[in-house]
Amino acid sequence: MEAFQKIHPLEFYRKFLQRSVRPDGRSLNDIRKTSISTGAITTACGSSFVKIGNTSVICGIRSEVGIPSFENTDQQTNIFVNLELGPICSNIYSSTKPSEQAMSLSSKLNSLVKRLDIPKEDFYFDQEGKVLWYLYVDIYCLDYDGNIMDASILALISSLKNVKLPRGIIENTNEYYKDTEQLRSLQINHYLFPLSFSIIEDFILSDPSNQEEQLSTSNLTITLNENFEICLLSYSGIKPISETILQESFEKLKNRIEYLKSLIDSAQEH
Amino acid sequence: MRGSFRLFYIQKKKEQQKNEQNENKNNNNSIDIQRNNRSDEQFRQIFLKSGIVSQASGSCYIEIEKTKVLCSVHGPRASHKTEEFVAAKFNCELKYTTFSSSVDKYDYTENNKEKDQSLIIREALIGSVRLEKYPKTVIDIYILVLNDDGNVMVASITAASMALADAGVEMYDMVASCSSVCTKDRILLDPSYQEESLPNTTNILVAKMPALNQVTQLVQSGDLSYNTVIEAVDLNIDGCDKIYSIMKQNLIDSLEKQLKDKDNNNNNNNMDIK
Repeated sequence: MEAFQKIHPLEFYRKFLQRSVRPDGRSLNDIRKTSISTGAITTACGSSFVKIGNTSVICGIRSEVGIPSFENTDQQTNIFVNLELGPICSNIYSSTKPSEQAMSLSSKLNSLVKRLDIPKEDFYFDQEGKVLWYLYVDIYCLDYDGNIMDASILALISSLKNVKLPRGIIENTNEYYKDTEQLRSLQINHYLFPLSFSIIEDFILSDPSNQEEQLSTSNLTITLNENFEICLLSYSGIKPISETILQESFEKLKNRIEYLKSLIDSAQEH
Repeated sequence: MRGSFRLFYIQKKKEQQKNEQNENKNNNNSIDIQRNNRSDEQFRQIFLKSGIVSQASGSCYIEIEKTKVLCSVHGPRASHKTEEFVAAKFNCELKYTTFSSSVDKYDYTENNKEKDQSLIIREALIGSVRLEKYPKTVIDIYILVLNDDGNVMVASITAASMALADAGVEMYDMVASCSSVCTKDRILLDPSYQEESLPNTTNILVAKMPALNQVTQLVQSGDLSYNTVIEAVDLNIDGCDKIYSIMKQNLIDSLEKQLKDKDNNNNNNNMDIK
């Protein structure tokens, strides 16, 4: 059976999918076991670890202080997200050149951060906001078994909720001190709930594994906030997507939102 | 955006004053550092788990209290370049995550410190692997430091050796290692980050294959008298044996677990057939 899987992977999958089951025993709509924990990295000011099946990512936030480079900074963001897909997670990635997939995912994550509506005042180092905190969110993939998008979005939101910034003190205009006894967290007004799908022929598979992603003709990722508003909708593939498929996918994600919310919230309590 | 603004190194004023006081003291006496809940020769708690990266041939995760390191091994796999019929190529790469240290800054590209440490780890392990058994192949070791609280080298060598064993690469023996920080009159085994960054100290790293009683790597940096070096190396060698017993126990446990899982799977398959 293993030889058949290796030589004709698509035919192998088709045999399963026609019976509405996947080789790992899941039904088409089943999502792998998801777990979130926070605060494991003591050197970062916020961190989280997310595991979806075998896929695991770790996210840490580094804080730096700087003077904003120009005035009238409504468009300026103070959070920079980067995703690293290194050779540690899978042998398809090399350490010498950054993967294109990681770059494209990073830009999606950067646009999602703006949807969180974090008030500008939360980044003030001092009272007036002449000096600001800048947060560098780095997500490292530790094990790549598909659906890295969901894992990294969940890691991003739970690590930002875990951020603890010290109180800043400025003395003599250019001496900066931080008071680590008075910590505050960011006010994050929204949640992000992602769900990805892979479409293999006419079958829609929720939470695809690595092999399913490779066999798929198209991929769909939806991210909603807690008001069921779309934050990110990305579809790529060689076949056009029908409205009914989109509707169904939305329903599947809506059913999962409550569960994801409880996961994110309970991860903060420890 | 990165680097477009000036950066400041910030420290709490009280701490700074305390440090200044300490420095004044240090000039007069020897460095005074208190260890919480452990003696100079005592190790911190070690947690090992192998086989956690599903996409790698072998992997291992190690925690020495707050120090957290993940290692994965790819290979032996066919080399891309057509080469002569020679022994396997052995690569090792260590990377710190950008958030692994609250003091040192790490970028996405490899810096000199990482390159240096990668080489030391490679040299420590290469003697233990039977490379001649795998001609025309490459064995790649990737190490990621998630959280640095001292003793990263020992954690990395231990994790890499366990990952090689997990990948089923033929070895003469596993490599155990131990490091210490020597001040004027004290030898501190398994140093924390704070102890490693003390001024005027010497670092000693010993890696060895305990079953063969052979040392594979010995690094000493800093000035120290001959007698103290010998004493410290002896202490480290004893430390290696302690680490080795933990590694051995863990390897046996993980093998037993694998066998159990295999048995369970077989039983389940039999049930299906019935």
